[in-house]
Formats: sequence, structure tokens, C-alpha cells
Amino acid sequence: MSESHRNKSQEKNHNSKVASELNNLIQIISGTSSLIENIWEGRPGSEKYFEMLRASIERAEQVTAQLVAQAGGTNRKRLLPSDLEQRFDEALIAGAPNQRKHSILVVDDEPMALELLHGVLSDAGYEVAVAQSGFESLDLFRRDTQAFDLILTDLSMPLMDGEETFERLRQMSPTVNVVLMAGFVDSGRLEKMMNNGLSGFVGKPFAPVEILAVVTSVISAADQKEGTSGIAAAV
Amino acid sequence: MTSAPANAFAQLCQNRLFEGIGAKVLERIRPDVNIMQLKRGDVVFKEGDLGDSLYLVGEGSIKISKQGRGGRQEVLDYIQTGNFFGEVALLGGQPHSAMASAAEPTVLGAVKEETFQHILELAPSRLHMNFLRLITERMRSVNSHFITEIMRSERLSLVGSMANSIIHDLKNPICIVRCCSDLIASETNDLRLRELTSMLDGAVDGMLAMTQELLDYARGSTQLNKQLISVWGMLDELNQQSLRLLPGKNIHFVKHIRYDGNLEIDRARFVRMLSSLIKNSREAMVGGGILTITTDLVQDQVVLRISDTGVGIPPEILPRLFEPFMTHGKSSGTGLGLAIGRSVVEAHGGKISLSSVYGSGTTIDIRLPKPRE
Repeated sequence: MSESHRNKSQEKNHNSKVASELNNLIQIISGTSSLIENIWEGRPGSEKYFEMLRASIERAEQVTAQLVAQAGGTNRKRLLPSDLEQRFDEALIAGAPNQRKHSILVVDDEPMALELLHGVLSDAGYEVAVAQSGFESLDLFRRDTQAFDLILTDLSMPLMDGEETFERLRQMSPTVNVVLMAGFVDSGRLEKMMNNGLSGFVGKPFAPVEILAVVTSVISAADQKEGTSGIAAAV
Repeated sequence: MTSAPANAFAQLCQNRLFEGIGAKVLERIRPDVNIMQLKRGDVVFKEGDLGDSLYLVGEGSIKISKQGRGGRQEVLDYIQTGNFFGEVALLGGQPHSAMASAAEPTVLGAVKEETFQHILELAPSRLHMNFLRLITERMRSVNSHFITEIMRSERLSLVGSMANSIIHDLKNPICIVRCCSDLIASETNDLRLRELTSMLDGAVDGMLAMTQELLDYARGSTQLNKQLISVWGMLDELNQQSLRLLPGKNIHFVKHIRYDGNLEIDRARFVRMLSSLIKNSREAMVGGGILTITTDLVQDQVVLRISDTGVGIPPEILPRLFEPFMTHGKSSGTGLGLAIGRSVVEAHGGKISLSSVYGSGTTIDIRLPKPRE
């Protein structure tokens, strides 16, 4: 490998880390600001500050998206198996269904991100458990592999990333539904994970409605599958 | 025991006891020497057995050990090729005061008392001299071993008395610090001050825990609060305490998890001990390296292996590494890390061992009984 080539690849690697970290932060900032906005009862006219906030977040998103593209990351905002796309659209319009309590395990090394997702998902009626590392999620999952309808994991975590966590979860139970979140993921890597049974992907930063629609469509598809196989078994 | 090789007797004739004694003389006792071929671990005699023979080591080596405190066999000496043992019981007419077993495949020649008398008559002055010289040598070596042991236990009891007085002396100032910090916290609404006082509390707790650990070690008793925790749960705890520091030190973390079931451990104590082992590894890899954690199940035992690619440990220090106050190349620390490690692992009914290649890395193996579930 030539010197300049190596420098380039190092730079790419560095950029992908920066992009991922930026997207994580934007996620937290946009999440908290929309939560604040919901409960804000400030002076009349103060809404314009939220507009400014939203606009700057959007600009930060655009800049980071360029960085992601330069470093060779996927430009997708989300990825679902093709048969789930329609469900996603329906869920986006309908909002989260609330017939049966479904439980979700969220895995992220960033406590603020966990806090936000916990809020969003439990407000929508889901039972939510959190794990602050891949290790912890495997420990929780191992105790009862039937306890969670879906596991939502971040990709970039130290010592055991989301990809390894996903693989080890699948080893414990091949039917587990895992959705990946990432501020940066290499397109080839994402494709490989989808081929290995990943249930879906959401790019950070995402809006609450978006993550809810993904979660809902994956869980409802799994429910239906379970239902039909149950009928088949009964027949 | 298998049949003796043809040259076994020739090997025995090379024994230091027979130095200067002609082959012709030795040939006369040949029929009376019982040649034994031992596998590693075969027992020649046990502590308390009656002694009726003197044993010559033709090849291999024999371990002399004695039951020590806590039922562990403590090695007193190794008898190498060309030496002999069993003379005290033979001449003193007493039961053996220690156990002898083969440390490796070994060829022995057993000489009964009558035969020994017979050689004494055949080559009087020579054999007497040899015998006396070798016994004196043996005494000197046992003596120095004994002195080292005493020094070791001296240091241990020193830890005991030291820890007791340290704890006693520390308790007062710690109480004062704690009280002051509580007072400050209750007197102020300043968030920064509150944060500082909670840091103070944390530090005080850490100090107490460390002193407690020292005391635990000195007492030699460890009260365990065992619970079931999966390998993942343990790694999670370990991740919070020490693994997360690795990437920042340019250390690559590799895991081979072949067993991810439960362990029955005192969570806090065990993980703290592992953390201190990992800290050692980290400090041994100054410029970065690879830390590997392997878990496996081998014959109903959970094996936990931590290995690093650090500087390794010089061979001359290896045998004493589990002793208290043995530090190698460290400026900080109590020198109790591995000693505590051993006491914690043994309190869990496990075993800890260490191997190291100087210059290329160290591996620690911990074996624990697999919990019955």
C-alpha cells in the first residue's frame, strides 16, 4: 500500500468516526429539543427560537451527511426488507398500535441516547428495557431469549459493537429481531448484516415517528409470521 | 511400573553416594537393588509410612512435599538425578516425615537397610564420607528453604498486624472526612459543591474498600457473597470497571467466548480482582498491544484466561509472583494484587496459575467449578 493511499484510508476511517459521533450528538440534541418544545410554555413569540434550533439541526445534519458520503457510508435513512416497506408506510400514518404490550430492549453505550429512546418507546406503549453495552444486552437476553420482541442496538460501541452483538444474539436465538441504529455504517457492511438476518436499519439522527414506524412494522410482521406458523402447527 | 531399562543399574552407579566406589564393588549389590520405573505423580511413600529403604535417583526427579496449612501440599524439595532420599527414616527408624512422588518419569533404585549395611562394609570410609557430605549439603538447602518460608510468613503476619493498625488509625480521619462532607452538602445548594462532596464520598468509600481488602487478605479469610452471574454479566461489569479503558491505551481487545453460561461468584470481589489483573496487563503494554479474554468449559470447570502481549515477567521472579509485596516494574500499588487474586480465586474453590514469556506476554488461567444449576 502506498503512503498516500494509506493516509487516505486512515483519513476515511477517521472521518467515519467523526461522522458517527456527530450524528449521535445531533440525535440527542434534536431529541431533547423536540421534547422541550412539547412541554414549553414560554413567552409568546419564543417559538421562533425553536425554529432556529430546528434549522441549525437540519444544517448540521446536511453537513454530516456530506461527511458520511465522503467516508463511504450508506446514505440511506433506513433500510427494511422489501416486504416491510408497506407496513412501514402504514405505521407511519397510523402511529404505534397498542393492542398487546410488546417489549423492546434498547442497547446504546450513550446514556443520553438510552434515556431518549426509553422515553419515546415507552410513551408509545412499549415495555422498554435498556442495556448500556453489548455485554449487558447479551446477559439480559441470555436469561430469557423470549423476553424481547425486538432488540434495537447502536452500531458503534466500544469493545463489542452492534454488529458483534447482533451476531451473538442470533447465535443464542436465530429468530430474534434486531434493528440496527447507526450514525455511520459502511454500505457493504450493512448489506452483509441484512443478508445475515438483520430486521432493519435506521440512520441516526432519526425522528421519533420514524423509529416508531420501523419498530412497529418489524414487530407486526414478526407477530403475523408467528401467527401463521401457529395456525399451520394447529392444522 | 514397567520393566526397567537395561542401563538403569549403570545410571544408579553414577549416584553421588557411590562416588569413588569401584564398579566391581557395586556389582556385588546389584541383585539386592530394586529398580523402580515411575510415571509422573507416582507416589514412592506417603507421610507417616514406615521407612525401610534408601532411594537413589537414576533419572528424573522426585518431589518431597508435606501437607501444609489448609490441606495444600507444600513442596519442600526436589531430589534430582544422581541424588538420594529416604535416609532419615531408614537410619532413624522413624516414619517418613514427608511425601515423595515422581515429578516426572523417574527411575529409582531402592536399597534396603541390610543392603545399605552391606555396602558400608564393602567400601567403608568412602561411603561414609559421601554420605556425610551429601547429608550436610541437604541440611543446608533445607535450612535456606526454611528461612525463606519463615521470612514469607513473617511478611504475611506483618501485613496482618500492619493492616489492623492501619485500619484502626484510618477510621477516625475517614469518619471526620465523611461528616464534613455531609455537613457541606447539607449547608449548600451549590450544585458544583454538591458534586465535589459526592466525589469526596466516593473516594472515601474507595479507601475503605481498599483497607478492607488488605484486612481480608491479612486475616486470610474471605467472606464471599456468591451469586449466579453469566459470563456476559461479568464482562459487562468488567467493561465498566476496566475494559473500557483499553481502546484509549491503544490496546486491542479480543474475546473468545466458548462458554457463556453462569458462574457462581462474589460479583464485586471477583470482578475487582479481574480488574486488577487487567490493570497489570494494561501496564505491561505501554505502547499498546492485544488483550485476550477466553472462556471455556473444560471437564466441568470454567476456564477463564486473560492474556496480554506485554513485556512479560522475568523468569527469576515467576515463582514468587503470588507472594504478597512482590511487585515487578511498578511504582504504584500495594504489591498485593496477585496475592489477593490467589486468595479470592481459592476462596471460590478455584485455582489460578500464571505463565509468562519474558519479552512477549503473560497469560493467567483461572479455573472455577461450574455451578450446579
